[in-house]
Amino acid sequence: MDNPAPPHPPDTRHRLRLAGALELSPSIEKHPVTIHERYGHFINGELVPGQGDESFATVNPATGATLAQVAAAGQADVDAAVAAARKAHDEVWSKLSGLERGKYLFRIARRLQERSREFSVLETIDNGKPIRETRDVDLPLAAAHFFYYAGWADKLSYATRGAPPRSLGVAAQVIPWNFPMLMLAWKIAPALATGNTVVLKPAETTPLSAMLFAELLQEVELPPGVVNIVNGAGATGNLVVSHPGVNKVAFTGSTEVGRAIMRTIAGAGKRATMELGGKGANIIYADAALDQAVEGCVDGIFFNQGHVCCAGSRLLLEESIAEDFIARLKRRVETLRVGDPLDKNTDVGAINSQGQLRTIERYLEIGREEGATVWQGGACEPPGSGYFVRPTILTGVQQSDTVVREEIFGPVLACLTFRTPDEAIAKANDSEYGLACGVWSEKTSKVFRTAHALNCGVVWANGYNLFDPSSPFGGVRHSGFGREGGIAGLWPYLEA
Amino acid sequence: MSRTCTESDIRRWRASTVDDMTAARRVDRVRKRSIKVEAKVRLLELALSMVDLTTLEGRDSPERVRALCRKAQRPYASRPELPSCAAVCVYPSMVPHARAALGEGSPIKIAAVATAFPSGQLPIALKLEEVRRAVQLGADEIDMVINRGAFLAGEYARVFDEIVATKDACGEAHLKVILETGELGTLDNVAAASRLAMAAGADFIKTSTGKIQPAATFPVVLVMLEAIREHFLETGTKIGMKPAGGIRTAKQALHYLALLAETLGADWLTPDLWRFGASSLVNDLLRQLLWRAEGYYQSPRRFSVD
Amino acid sequence: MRLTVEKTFKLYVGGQFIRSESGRVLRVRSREGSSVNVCSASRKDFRDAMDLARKAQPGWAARTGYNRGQILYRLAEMLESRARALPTEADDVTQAIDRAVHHAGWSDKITALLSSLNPVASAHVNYSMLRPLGVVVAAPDVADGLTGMVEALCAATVMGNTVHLFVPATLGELAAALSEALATCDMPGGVVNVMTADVPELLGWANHHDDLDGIYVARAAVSAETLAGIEREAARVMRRVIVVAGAAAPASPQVLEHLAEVKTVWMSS
Repeated sequence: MDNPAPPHPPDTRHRLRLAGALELSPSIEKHPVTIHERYGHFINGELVPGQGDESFATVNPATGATLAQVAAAGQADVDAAVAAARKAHDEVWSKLSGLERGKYLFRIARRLQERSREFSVLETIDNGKPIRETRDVDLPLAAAHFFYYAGWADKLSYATRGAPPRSLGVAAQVIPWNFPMLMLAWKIAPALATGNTVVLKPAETTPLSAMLFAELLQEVELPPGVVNIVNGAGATGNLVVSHPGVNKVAFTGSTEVGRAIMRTIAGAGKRATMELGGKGANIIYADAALDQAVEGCVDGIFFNQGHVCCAGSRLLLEESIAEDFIARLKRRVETLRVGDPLDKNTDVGAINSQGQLRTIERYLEIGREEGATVWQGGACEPPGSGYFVRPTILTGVQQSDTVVREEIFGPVLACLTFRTPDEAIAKANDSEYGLACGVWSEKTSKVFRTAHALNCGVVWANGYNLFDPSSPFGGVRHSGFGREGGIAGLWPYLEA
Repeated sequence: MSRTCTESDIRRWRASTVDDMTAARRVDRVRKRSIKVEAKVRLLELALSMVDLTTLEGRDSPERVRALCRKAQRPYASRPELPSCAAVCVYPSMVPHARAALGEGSPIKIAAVATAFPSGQLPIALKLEEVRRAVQLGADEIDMVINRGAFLAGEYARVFDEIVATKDACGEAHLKVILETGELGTLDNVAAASRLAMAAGADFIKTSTGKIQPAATFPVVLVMLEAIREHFLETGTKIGMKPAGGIRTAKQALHYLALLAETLGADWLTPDLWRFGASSLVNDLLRQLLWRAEGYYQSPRRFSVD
Repeated sequence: MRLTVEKTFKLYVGGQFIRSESGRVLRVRSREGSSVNVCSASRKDFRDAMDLARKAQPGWAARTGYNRGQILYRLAEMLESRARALPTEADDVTQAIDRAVHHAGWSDKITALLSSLNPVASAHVNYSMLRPLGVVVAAPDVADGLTGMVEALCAATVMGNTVHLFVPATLGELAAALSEALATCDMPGGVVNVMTADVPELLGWANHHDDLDGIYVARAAVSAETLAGIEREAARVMRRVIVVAGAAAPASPQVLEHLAEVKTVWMSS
C-alpha cells in the first residue's frame, strides 16, 4: 500500500497471543487402509498389471516416502481401455435404460459414502491434504455428485430442452492431483448418467484413490468397460485424449496443458470441456462483514494449501480498510495449524509434490525481487520432513507483478487495494483467467452489481470456495469452457 | 469515571455487521477440533475451574444452595486435586445462604442475578436498589440483564445509561451484562449490544439468562468474542465472556474453549475472563475426566444430582 | 448503348459503409452474370472493426431482451420490404426472413430456458444465468446464402454478442443488401459488422487477434484442414470455436448456449 499508515493502526498497541494458544495433542486418523506395492490399470472391469515395463513411484508428500509403484500406460494399454469403453458403450451402456444407468450411479454413491473414511485416509496419504478436508469436503461431495447425476440419467430429455438426448460415445477424462476423488466424480458421474463410457487418467502423483475406486466399481458390479482407468503421466494423457476412438475429451488441470490438449485434438471433431487455471479475485468492500470476509479469505486461499484452480489468490481491499483487514487476516492465520495431514486438527497440509513446492518457492522469490513484502504465519512450525509451505500473505504488490498475474497454486495471497467499485471490478477483470471471484459487502445492490459485472464463471457473494453438485462450475477465457455440475454439466456430454 | 455514549459511538457499534452463514462456517470449523488425551484433560480441568454453578429456579431453597456451594468447592470428593468451580450463581435472596456456606473470603465467588432477572421489566430505580442489596448481602458479582425492549426500539443511549448506573450501583462487585441474545434476533444486534455493554462498563458480557431459547450458541459466542477483541484492540481493556444456558456437555465446553483460544488467544484462558453459566455441565466434565483417569465410562449415578 | 454506372459494394463496419483501408477491391461476377466490384477486408479493417464491436458489446448486452427482439424483428421487416430486390433465390429470402423472426422471439426467453436456480445443499441462493461470449466472428456456409448469414448474425446477437460476419466476395452483392437492411433496422452500429473478404485468410487474422472471444463457423464454410488450423490456433487463448452443421435448421437452445457462458452466483442468505 502506497499510502502512509494511519497514526494509530489498531493492533500495534495491543497484541493478542494467538499462535499456539490452543495447545492440542496429536489426533491422528487411524482408519485402516491397504496400499499395495504395485498398481496397474483398470480395464474392462479387471485390475491389470499393464503391458509395458514403465512405472513410476507415488509418494506421501507429508514424509517424502514412496507409497507404491504404479505402471505407466503405453499405447497398448490405452488401446485396450478405449476398445473396452467403445464396446461397453455400443453394446451395453448406451442401450441400458436411463433408470438402470441411474441405479448403478446410486449404488456407486452409496458405496462411496459407506467407504468414505477409507477413501479419505488414502487420499490424504497420497495427496497431502488435511484429513479434515478429505473427510468433510472431498469425499462427501464426491458421493453427492454421483447421487446428483444418478437422478438425471432417466430425465435427460428435460435437460436438453427438446433435443433427443444422445450420448457422445467414449469420453477421455484427464484429472488433476488437487482433488483426485472429487474430480473423478465430477468427470465420471455426468458422463455415465448421459450414457457415455469413460477412459480416465488420474494424476501421476495421486493415483491411489482412483484405483480404490476401481475396486469399488467391481463391488457394485458396474458392467465391464463402462469405466476404465489408466495410470501414467502426461505422455499417457496424450495417448488417451488423442486416441481416434475417443469422442469426447474432458480435462481439468493447468491452462498450459489444456492448451496442448486442444491443439492435439484440433480438427478431430471431438467435443471438449476444459477446466483450467485461475487467479480469482476476492473483493472486500469497506461495508463487508469484516471478520467473515477474513474467513472467506482463509477459505479462498488456504483451503487445500491453495491448490485450488478457483482459489481467491488476489485479495482486493477497499483502501479505507486495507490495513485493518490485513491485521485481522494475519491474526486469523496465526491460528492455522500447518502439519501432519492425518492429524484431524491440521488446517494446512502438505504441498502435493516436491515439484510444486519448488514452483511456490520460486514464485515467492520472484515476488520478493519484484518488491513484495512476504509475511508467513501459522499456529505452529511445519514438520521438518515432507513438503510444507506456511500460509503466506504478500503485500506491496501491483497489478503488473508476476505474483498477481500468474497462478501460483499454493497458499499464497497477494493483497491489492482499490477505491471505488468500478476500480475493484476493473482490477478483478484484469486477468487472462476468469474462473471465480468473491465479493464481500453487506449492501445488497452493490453485491449484485459487482457479481454480475465480474468476468468469470463463478461468483461467491459473501462466501468463497463453496461447491455443490447442483451448481454449475467452470470458467471463461483462459480458465477454460464447459460446465461441471448442475443441468449445465450434462450438456457437454450430449449431442447438441 | 463518567461514561457517555455519543451518536457516533452508536453508529460505529452498529456498523460491525455479521454474515450469518460464514459465521456458522467458522464455528463449524472450530467444532471439528479434535481435542484428545493430555490436551483434553488440561482443558476439562480448566473448564471445571470456569463454571459458574447456577441455580435460578422459583423453587430454589437454602438447602439446594448449600449443596451447590459444596459441589462448587469440591466437585468430586474422591478427586480432591480437581479444581473448584469459579462461582455459584443464585438469586439475591439466596446470597446470604451461599455466603454462609462458602464463608468470607472464599475463592469461589458469589454471583447474583439482579435488575429484575430475567425480564428486566422494572423501573430502573428498583433495579438499582436490587443490585445494591445483592452487593450488601455479599455478592461478589452481579449478573444484570440489559433492557432489550429499549435496545430493540433503538433507544441505545437508554440501554447504555442503565448499564452505567448499574455499574455504579455495583461498587466493588464485578458486573456481568446479560444481552439475552435469544431476544436480540440478529447477530448484528448481538455485535452492537456487546460493544455497547463493554463501553458502558461491563466486566463480563454474558449471552443469556437461560430462560429464553435459544440461549448460548456458538455463532453468538463467536460474535461476542469478536466484539471483545475489537474492544481490546481499541482500549487495551480485557473484558470477560460468559456463555450461559444449554451448555451441558464436556464436548461443547471444550469447543467453546477452542473458539476462545482461536479468537482471543492465551490470555483469556482463565476464570478471570471466561465463565460457563451452567449446572449439569460439571457432571459431564467429571465423567470425561474420570474416564480418562480410570479407563471406565462412568454411570451418571456416580455423580451427585445437584 | 448506355454505359451502366458500376457500384462498388462496401464493407459495413460500425454502422458505416466503408471501403477497405487497404484499397483492395475484388471484381467478381454478379448473380446476373455481370461484373461487380466488392471491397475486400484486410487485417487492419478487422482490427478497426474489432474495436467497434468491443465497444458496442456491453451496451448491446445491456439492452433488454424485449428491445433486442424488436430490433431483430425490424430486421425481418426490412428484409421483407426489399425481398424482391435481394439478389438470391426467393426461397432463400423467405427462409432468411422467417429465421430472423424465429430468433427475434428468443431474445427474451432463452435466458429463462437455460438459466437455473440451483438447489444447493445449504441456505445459499444459487443461480446460473447466461452471459454473452463477447465478440464473435461468424463464417456461414456460402451455400446457405442469405439464410446462412441471417442465422449466424441472429444466433450471435440474440445471445448478447456482437458479431463480425465474414462473407466471401462472391456473395458481396447479397452481403451489401443485408447490410443495408441492418443499417435501417435500428441495430446499433458495431453490433453486426459485415465484412466481405477472403474468408479463410481473414479468419486467420481474426484468430490472431486476442481480444476476439469466439469463432462460429459452418462446417462447410472452410476446408477440414482450415478448420483444424483454426481450432489449433484458437487453443492458444482458449478461444471458443463453435462448429455448426449449417443453417438448414435454426440453432437449437443447446447451440445458442455455446454462444454464451453459464455464470453461477452464490449468495449468502
